[in-house]
Amino acid sequence: MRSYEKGYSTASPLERPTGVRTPSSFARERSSETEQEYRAPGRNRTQPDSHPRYGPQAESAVSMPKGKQWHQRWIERFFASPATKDPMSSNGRLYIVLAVFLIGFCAVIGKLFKVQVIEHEALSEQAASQYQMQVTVPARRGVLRDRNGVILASNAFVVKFAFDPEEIKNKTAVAAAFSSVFGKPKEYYEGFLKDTSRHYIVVEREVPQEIAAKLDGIKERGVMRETDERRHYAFGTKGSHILGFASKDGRGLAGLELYYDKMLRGTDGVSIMQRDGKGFRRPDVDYDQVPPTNGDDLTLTIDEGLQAVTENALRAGVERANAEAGIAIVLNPRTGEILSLANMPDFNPNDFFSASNDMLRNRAITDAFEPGSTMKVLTAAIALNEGAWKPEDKIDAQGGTWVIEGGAKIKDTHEYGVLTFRQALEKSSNVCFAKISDKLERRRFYKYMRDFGMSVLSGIDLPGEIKGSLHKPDKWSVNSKRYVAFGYEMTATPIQLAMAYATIANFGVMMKPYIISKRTNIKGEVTEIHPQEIRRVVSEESAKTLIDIMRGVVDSGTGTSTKIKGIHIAGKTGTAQQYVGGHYSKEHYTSSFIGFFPAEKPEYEILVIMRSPKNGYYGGTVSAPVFKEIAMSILEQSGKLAPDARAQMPLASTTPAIEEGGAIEIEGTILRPRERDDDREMPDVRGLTQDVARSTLAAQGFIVLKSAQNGIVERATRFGGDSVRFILRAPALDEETEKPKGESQLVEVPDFRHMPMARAMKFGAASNVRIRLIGEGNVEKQLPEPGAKVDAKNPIVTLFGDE
Amino acid sequence: MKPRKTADISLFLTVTGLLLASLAFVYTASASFSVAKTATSEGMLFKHATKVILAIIAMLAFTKIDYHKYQSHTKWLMLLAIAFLGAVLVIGHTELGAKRWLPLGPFSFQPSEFVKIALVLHIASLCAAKKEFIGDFKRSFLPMMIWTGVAAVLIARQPNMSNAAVLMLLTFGIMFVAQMPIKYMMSTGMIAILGGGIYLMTAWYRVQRILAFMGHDNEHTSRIGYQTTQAMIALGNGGLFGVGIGQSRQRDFYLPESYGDFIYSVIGEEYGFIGAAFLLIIFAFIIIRGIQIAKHAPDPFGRYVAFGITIMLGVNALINALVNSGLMPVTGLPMPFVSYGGTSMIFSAAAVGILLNISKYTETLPNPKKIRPSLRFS
Repeated sequence: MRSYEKGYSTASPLERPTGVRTPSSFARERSSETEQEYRAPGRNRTQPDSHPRYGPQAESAVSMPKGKQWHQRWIERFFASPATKDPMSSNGRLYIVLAVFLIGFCAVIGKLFKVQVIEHEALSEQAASQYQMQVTVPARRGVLRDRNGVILASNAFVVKFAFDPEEIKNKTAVAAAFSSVFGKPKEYYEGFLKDTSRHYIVVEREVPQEIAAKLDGIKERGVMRETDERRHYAFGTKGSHILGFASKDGRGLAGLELYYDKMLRGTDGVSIMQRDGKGFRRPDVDYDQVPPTNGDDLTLTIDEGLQAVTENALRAGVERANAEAGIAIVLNPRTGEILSLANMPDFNPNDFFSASNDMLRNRAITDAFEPGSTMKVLTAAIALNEGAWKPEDKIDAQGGTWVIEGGAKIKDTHEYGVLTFRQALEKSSNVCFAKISDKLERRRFYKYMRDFGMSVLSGIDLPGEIKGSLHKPDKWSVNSKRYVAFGYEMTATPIQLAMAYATIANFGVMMKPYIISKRTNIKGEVTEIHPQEIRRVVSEESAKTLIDIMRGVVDSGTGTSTKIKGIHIAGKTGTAQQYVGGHYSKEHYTSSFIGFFPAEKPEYEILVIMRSPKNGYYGGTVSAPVFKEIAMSILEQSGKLAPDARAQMPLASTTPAIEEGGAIEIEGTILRPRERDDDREMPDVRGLTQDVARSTLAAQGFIVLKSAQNGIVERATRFGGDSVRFILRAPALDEETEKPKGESQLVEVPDFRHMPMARAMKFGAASNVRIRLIGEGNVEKQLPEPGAKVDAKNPIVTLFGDE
Repeated sequence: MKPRKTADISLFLTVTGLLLASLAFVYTASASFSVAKTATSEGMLFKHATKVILAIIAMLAFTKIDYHKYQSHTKWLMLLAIAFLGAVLVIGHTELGAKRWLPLGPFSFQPSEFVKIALVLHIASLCAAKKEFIGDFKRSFLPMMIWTGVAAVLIARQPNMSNAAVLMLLTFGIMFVAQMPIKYMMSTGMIAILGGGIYLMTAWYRVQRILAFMGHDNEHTSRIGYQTTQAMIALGNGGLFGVGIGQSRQRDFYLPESYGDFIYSVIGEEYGFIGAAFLLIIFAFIIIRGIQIAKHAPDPFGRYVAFGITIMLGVNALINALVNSGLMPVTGLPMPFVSYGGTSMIFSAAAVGILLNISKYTETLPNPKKIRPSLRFS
């Protein structure tokens, strides 16, 4: 120690690095005896610029004795221990430490004052906004019942199970319980439970409530249940085209669900929920609530049992005929109530996503086509009502072929000679009906056709109805009226045809078709929907005369295969060639049978239409058996069917007595009916995902050109009638991330990343941002990026899950 | 050696008062976590209460033990502590990504709390023994640094950087008061900061914490920044007078460990600026009393031990308050006597016991009435 001191004192004081000396100067000030010794003479703090490397004496420092390098001396000096003061009597350093602590505490108090007093208001607001969140309390969607109160569409609760492994204590018990309920191996769930890096792992979805209840015993906080209401269609495919379907979030997308969406949906309620830091609901806090108003319940005119009969008969008929599609409608002509309505192919509304466009179409209202011979009934009605023809008037059928103006030929299937008016309908002679129309004034003819509902919407309470096509008489060619008289050069939908026949069945008065008969609101108030008369089209007398002739069609004409013992049926067959590829096809037919009974006072009307049957094509062969099956079931139900009726007329061997005429051969030009209705309304699908939008439009008969891209429909444009093309908004919201203009109306996008989706939703609600979820699990990516500014009016953030 | 007088009663009452008040703090701050962990909102409170009783017993017991008895045995105490630290790395159980706990029968304890006291005693003992040649680098400074370095590196391996840094601070603090030349401490400190900085960069979570503190917001730091944000919301919502006892909302999982490292935020929320500032004044009082005891201790060992214990408590309290008020990056240091948690509280109380024992031997102790603040607790 001494030697260090000595060396120290002999060294030039000027070389002492100031940096080392300065801190100990404090001690030196509190002078003591040792201090004096320590302070060598001439070592003066007032010469700080005398550092060897910087000071003017640097030269002399290098030329020191003993030949030591400057760094060696520097090290020596560093390790030299100066004489110390008595630690017991110098308290300066104690006070320095005390001062440091007090300064530290003062800094904290200063910061506390800033945060707690100055920024109190802003932070309180921030606190309140993170504690509360607005939750919509969804209104219960209205229930759909059939005319006898059978529930057709209701709401089922489904539960989604998710794990937060970190919050689950007894992992083996949870895995075992799930395994026993869902039948998957334990290891499957244990695999999820091992992953503590994530806080929201969906393990089971869409679990029916009854099954979910089996897991009620698990009280773990980390086993999260999310209950959702799902629309449930009790009978699956039954009545699918009438009921339509609703999306997962309770938006009506097709059928009655769409048509009465507003009534069914009700009004969602709002509640303010208190939440904790993990996004869980705090159980104990009371909150304000605007209760939801549940949707109205609707009662249909449909009879569930009859619907089943109709569908089964139609399905069997379509299979038998190997038809492309089939349509059947049963209605009450007195009131316009639709009793059943079926289309084939059909779909299951519980799983509408997997249905193809073809299955979704409600052809009864969205398909218009040239009806063919069934139109002869309307022509006959006009002829009788106008008094231009009497049932027994004679018409020359020209031996089956009539060359008309322009060189075109009208042909019958059989070479008839002279027929009466009555026979012309029974045998369905095209030539005769062309001639019948010749005696009718074209404007009056047109007016009657309009009155029968041709080219006019029937007004049925289902969405997507189209009105078919009937050219105005000033556009008609010389032959147009003749063609229209037996069902060409115009199109009609099945519902229009059904309602026109119902007008005859109702002795000349047209009724408005309807499906909803009763509306019951949440308070139990019932609104009945009454039958609505549209207009009288023909006189009662003309109608009754016509019904009498139509009985002949079944008794001895083209429709004999529908004959049922003990009941009088009036009806008409139809076999129309479809216009395919620029000419009337010999392969594609529209085969129909429309009839009603009892003929004396019709109560039931049944329409059956087959599109493009490949196994037979006459309406009397293909569609009539379906009619008969449905009619027999109705009669059986009401006990009016003779006990031996079924045995007498086995369905398989039904062959019409006379094959009806439907074929036409055109050598001149024919005015094509408008293929599509361009003016019908298209549902608004903007903002829906492409898949949902496609299903929605397909159910209305639109053809959607599918894009491989995924995204949200920004705009749907129509081209060429019913074809729709989507302009999709790619999930990237470029326009939203652009530099905004007015700062005041913008909100900053919070950071949602790594949050479980459920929490992100809640967090979003708390920060007044609308969330759109894509995928599940934790948020992997978000658009726009956190911190970006979005328009406060439309603050949409898209979150992408990692699952 | 016979005690000259009774122990410093004002210090004893202050610390006991804090321990008892911690029951109220922990009860409210742990309510939500307690429900999640023990199914009742009192579960954690009861555990805490047992530890409070143990802490008071430990404090009283150490008040009785003559501190001079430690002086010649501190080396063995330090070796024991280092052995514990070694053991914890081998058999310790991991919690929140770090091995900090040593199972001891039904209990588990944190050797890092034990090593702090052992180090204070040992460095104090060394400084006292070497006071004649305290400025000698090889004989005085180096051995002390080796003891500290071994302990600090073992703690840093857990990893627990904040406690490793606290050990360095304690050693330097005692050295500083023991008139160790500042040049040694400055240069060693510089090397330690450099080395520590490099070590910090080797673990991603530490870098993220620092980045978060410096306001670098990226997707990884946002979670860490979230903790500080929530602490600020707690304090800010508390305002001047607080939201009221038991009314904390931030404890509902907004604050991480609302009963532990972030209990000060909950206190600030419930008792407001007044309460939070008052707690700091209490700690300032404890530090002032500790410095006074050190100043009047009869011998260098007593002086250094008293001072070392004082700064041990003070550093913990100050760092915790700095973290809670957002002035420092998040570290894992509890608030002494207040935070939930056994080891830290019991060892802190035991340390106060030693301090109280030293106060029995002080030559003159100033009249505590002059500086004693009100001992009322809300």
